[in-house]
Amino acid sequence: MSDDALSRELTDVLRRVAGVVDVFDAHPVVEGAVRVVAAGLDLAGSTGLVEIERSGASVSVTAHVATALDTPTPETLAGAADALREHLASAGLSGDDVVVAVSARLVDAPR
Amino acid sequence: MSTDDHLSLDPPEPDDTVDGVSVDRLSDYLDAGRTPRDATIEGSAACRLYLQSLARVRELSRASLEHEAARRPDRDGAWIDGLLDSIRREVVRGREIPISHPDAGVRLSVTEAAARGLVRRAGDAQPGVVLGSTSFEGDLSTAGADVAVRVTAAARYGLDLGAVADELRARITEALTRHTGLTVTRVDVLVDDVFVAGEDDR
Repeated sequence: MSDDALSRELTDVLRRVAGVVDVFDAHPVVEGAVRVVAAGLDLAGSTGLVEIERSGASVSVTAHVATALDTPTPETLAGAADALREHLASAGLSGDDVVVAVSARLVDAPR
Repeated sequence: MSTDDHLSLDPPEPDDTVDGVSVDRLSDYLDAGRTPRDATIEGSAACRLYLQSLARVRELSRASLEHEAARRPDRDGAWIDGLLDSIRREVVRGREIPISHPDAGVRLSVTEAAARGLVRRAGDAQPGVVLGSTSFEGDLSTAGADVAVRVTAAARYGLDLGAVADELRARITEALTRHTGLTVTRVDVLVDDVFVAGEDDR
């Protein structure tokens, strides 16, 4: 599976986590803009919002989310990280070389 | 805001933009009821934070602030402009506030902008209060660190300012403790302005 496809799957996983009300693009701004244009050319797919970086055997997964006001954000973020780790493990990515970072960019009421 | 606050924020954007989106476009989008959905705006945490606060300022403009502006338009127009400028600066991401997790392979955090947004939301939810600026003092780079919060606020004329400050402290402490894990040791409240209630003010 490509990292783009994995990113899309991880984005979907995050959207199903209790307390996550939105997922923001975690890619650097310039890269994110390029990906949006690229996605516009590929009508069959959309860009994943989770960033996946590989360096040798290490994999770094970064996600930016909005969390719900009615749930403690640390609880939501921990749930999001667990869900990401579980999905990564099912894709064969587990162990000490895999680092998952989840950041709350906004705490908001569900819309 | 203090000099330290400016140092803690990301480099300033041009005066009329939030995350690359003009404040005029954000204002128009809010006017339109945030429809049709603008993916650029809704995909930006900074823009979303700004819209939250702008909506609150609009609500007040229709009530007490409008009342004041009619009496003293220069003074209150400037006050609202200053408030919006303060909000625009605060929605920039800022520092990452880490949240502890037992797994070394998991890193959790809340941005300083999100924390400021929580403080503003807590203040604006309090009847008779309009939050001005927010600053944090302490080591935000350590999970659960002690932090002191300093806010400025305008209060509705006639309220007991001591009680206003006490309630504001409690609301801010609860919100930050619940959502950031920080240990709030002190909340300094400076009520630096007073406004007169309009007919439909809370």
